[in-house]
Amino acid sequence: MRTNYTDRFNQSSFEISMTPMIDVVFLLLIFFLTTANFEIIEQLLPSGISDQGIAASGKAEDLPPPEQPAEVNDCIVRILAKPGELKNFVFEFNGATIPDLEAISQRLRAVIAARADVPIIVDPDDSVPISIAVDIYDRARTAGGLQVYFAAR
Amino acid sequence: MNMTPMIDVTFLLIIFFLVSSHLAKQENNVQLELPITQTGIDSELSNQHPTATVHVLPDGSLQMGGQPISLENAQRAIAARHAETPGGLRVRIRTDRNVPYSVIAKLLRACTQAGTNDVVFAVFDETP
Repeated sequence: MRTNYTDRFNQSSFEISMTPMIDVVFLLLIFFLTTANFEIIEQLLPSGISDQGIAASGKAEDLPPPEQPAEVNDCIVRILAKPGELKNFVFEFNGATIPDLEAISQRLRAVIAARADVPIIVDPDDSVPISIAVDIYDRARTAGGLQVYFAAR
Repeated sequence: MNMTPMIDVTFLLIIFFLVSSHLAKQENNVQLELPITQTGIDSELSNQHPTATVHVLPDGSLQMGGQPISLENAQRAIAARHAETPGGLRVRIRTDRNVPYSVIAKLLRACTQAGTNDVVFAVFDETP
């Protein structure tokens, strides 16, 4: 009798079908794979536009040279990034050449410590990649600048 | 009556629609190497504002709403949407980090001429 019961138990356990479980596991696998978000989270960098450079005529040729307004108005800090040799960039801070980005940050901190709402205009040359321009913009914001603008032309 | 096949099919349909709607959302996003910053703000916080997104591809060409667009048409589209938005339109620029500034400068100028000064850049947070 006992042997008979064990035999029956073993028989029924062998009959358990794995197929539905595998179905469900595959479904779950596909669901989580497809809904998983592998994208890097994007943030926003709020920016302002300095439209001083846009002349009424609207022609780029008629624009004044970038140094000119800096001489007229002391409050405006202009940073010019120019591609030099070997993909290095030359930075100018109110007309004075600055060797590297760290020195720019120091200048920005000094200026902003004196007056936080001094308008800072980032004015890169045409061929400068936007990453450098955004980097300088970011440094101005990190230094505490309240009014940081990109130059539009 | 065996309910299993019906439940199977129903689950499959649910998963299909969930996944396809998810993919449709992602389709709008062009894969771009965005600039990296430290002072970016959470994009969820400012999502309430009506926003037009302009993608700037590595070759300097523009895209709006998944379609290539010229600078003049982009300016027209921004101006039209800006005019019909009560609080003013925000322009979100998603640009590749190697695009020369001349392209962005022209785009910024187009934005000001379209009447909006509210421009934000989509950026990646600085990787530690």
